Amino acid sequence: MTFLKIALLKLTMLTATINAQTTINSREQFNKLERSTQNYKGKPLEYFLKDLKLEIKSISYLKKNEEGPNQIILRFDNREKYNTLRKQGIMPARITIWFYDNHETQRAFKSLNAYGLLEASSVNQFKKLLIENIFSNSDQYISK
Amino acid sequence: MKKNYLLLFIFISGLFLFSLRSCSEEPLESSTIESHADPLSYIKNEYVKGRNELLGKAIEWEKAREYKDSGDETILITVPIKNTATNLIEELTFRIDNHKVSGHLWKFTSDTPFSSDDYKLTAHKIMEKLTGRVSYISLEGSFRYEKLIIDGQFVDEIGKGGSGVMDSPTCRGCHGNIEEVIIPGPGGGGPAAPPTNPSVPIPGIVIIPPPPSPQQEKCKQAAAGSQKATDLSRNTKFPAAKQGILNAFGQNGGENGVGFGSNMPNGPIDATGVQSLGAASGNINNPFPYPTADMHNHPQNTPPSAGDVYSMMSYHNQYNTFNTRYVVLSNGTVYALTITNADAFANFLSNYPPSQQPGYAPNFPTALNYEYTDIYTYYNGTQEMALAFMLDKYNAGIALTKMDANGNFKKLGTKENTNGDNKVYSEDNCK
Repeated sequence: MTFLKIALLKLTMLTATINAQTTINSREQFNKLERSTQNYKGKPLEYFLKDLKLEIKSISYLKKNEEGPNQIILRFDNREKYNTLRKQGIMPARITIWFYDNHETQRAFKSLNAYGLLEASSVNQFKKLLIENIFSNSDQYISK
Repeated sequence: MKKNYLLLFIFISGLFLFSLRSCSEEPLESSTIESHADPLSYIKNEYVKGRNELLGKAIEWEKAREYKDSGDETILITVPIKNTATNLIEELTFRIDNHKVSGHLWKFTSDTPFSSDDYKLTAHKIMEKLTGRVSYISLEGSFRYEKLIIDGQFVDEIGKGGSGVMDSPTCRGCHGNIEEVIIPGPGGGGPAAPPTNPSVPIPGIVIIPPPPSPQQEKCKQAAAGSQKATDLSRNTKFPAAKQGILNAFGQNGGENGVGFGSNMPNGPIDATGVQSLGAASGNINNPFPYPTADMHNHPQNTPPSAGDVYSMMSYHNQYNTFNTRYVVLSNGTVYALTITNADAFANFLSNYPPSQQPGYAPNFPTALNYEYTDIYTYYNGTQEMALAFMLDKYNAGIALTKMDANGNFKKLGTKENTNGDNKVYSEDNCK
């Protein structure tokens, strides 16, 4: 009986984990993404990118400083669309990924300036870095 | 034809009467100084504070000259203002008559460069040689004049046979029966003659100043805090603390800090030793009963952060004597966060509470953080511009200032424009 209880509990936990790890194919999902970020923590970025079915248009990056560790911001709008949304008082959807501060991360960020904007294809240079945290937001209204 | 002459006559008469009226009705604008106070110290620390006309001016207080008459009832003080133009002389004059202080800002703009000797001349002597413009502003804020001069004569008096500005009808009209003030300089005459600051200003064209722009308002609000930051930076404890922090950074590669404060209200400033704050951030232990400021370095050479702002608000709310946070970079740059309006903290904190991730400094809440980082990671701004912009836009009650080449802290500002739909950011710093 005890064995059955434990098995049931484990099955429940496994089901919850599988369900949490969802495919991301719309920016509206971003607000709910944080529920499943636990699945990606400690894993390489490429693991997360496999589940991300949206086209990345550009990447901002910030090197480690007083405000946080080395990180990238995935953006999903071209500049024209981005500016249009900002003009409407909408902060466009984005996903910010913090990386663990290890040798691999330091090497990937070493040649970069303190902050900047990269082409979408540059995401490959970060794909082996281990994720410390993910913050994501769908489009949200802000003051203009 | 006669009618035209009549109209012209009436118009000119009107102008003449207006000119006389502006002279005669000018009140003697002044403030009162306590009899026991040191005049220069009072003027520097009290009288000129908050005077918009002096915002951003490099006043050379250390070059001030003071003249007294035998009865000590009239004191004249002249203070030069540093500028880089070769055809501009600016100086402040302060006249203290029976403890009444009146201050004036003079600006002489010559069509040709001034010689080094010209900088030692009195106001009237400068005007006697001048071809250009002279402007005169009462620091009490209500009167300002500007007149054109050719070869020492006011343009509206050329051809009338005057022998110089002191004899000119314009000056005589305003001096009236008051003779030019000549007070023997210390020791029988120093390198410069005493100023001849008229007790009633020269009449002329009245320039009505335009209303201050929002940026000018911000500069005005930040002036006192910037001055405090500048004053403390001239304390001997400041360079020692800065060097100590940078030396410690050279050894440990992390953040290091020093606290400033005093043991009694408005007492002499003391400083703690250098404290190691860890790899990225930490709190400075400020043991003084009246903490006034602190200083730390940013190992990545970044400007003050949102975390510095939030923790400063929190610390000021505990100790209202604390009003300046310096951040030094290894390249010698020194920033200071200064308090402009502590009453604004509550609103700011209520509307934009910090977001805090374990192990890191507090940051702006999500939406603001996105706006902040977009300025320098998506648009053309810098991190410095981004913080200055956010503090102003959201009325945080704290200003970001930076030490200039003269050692003065000046508020940084950022202008947001658009090019098409694209946002473009540019510096809009206080002078």
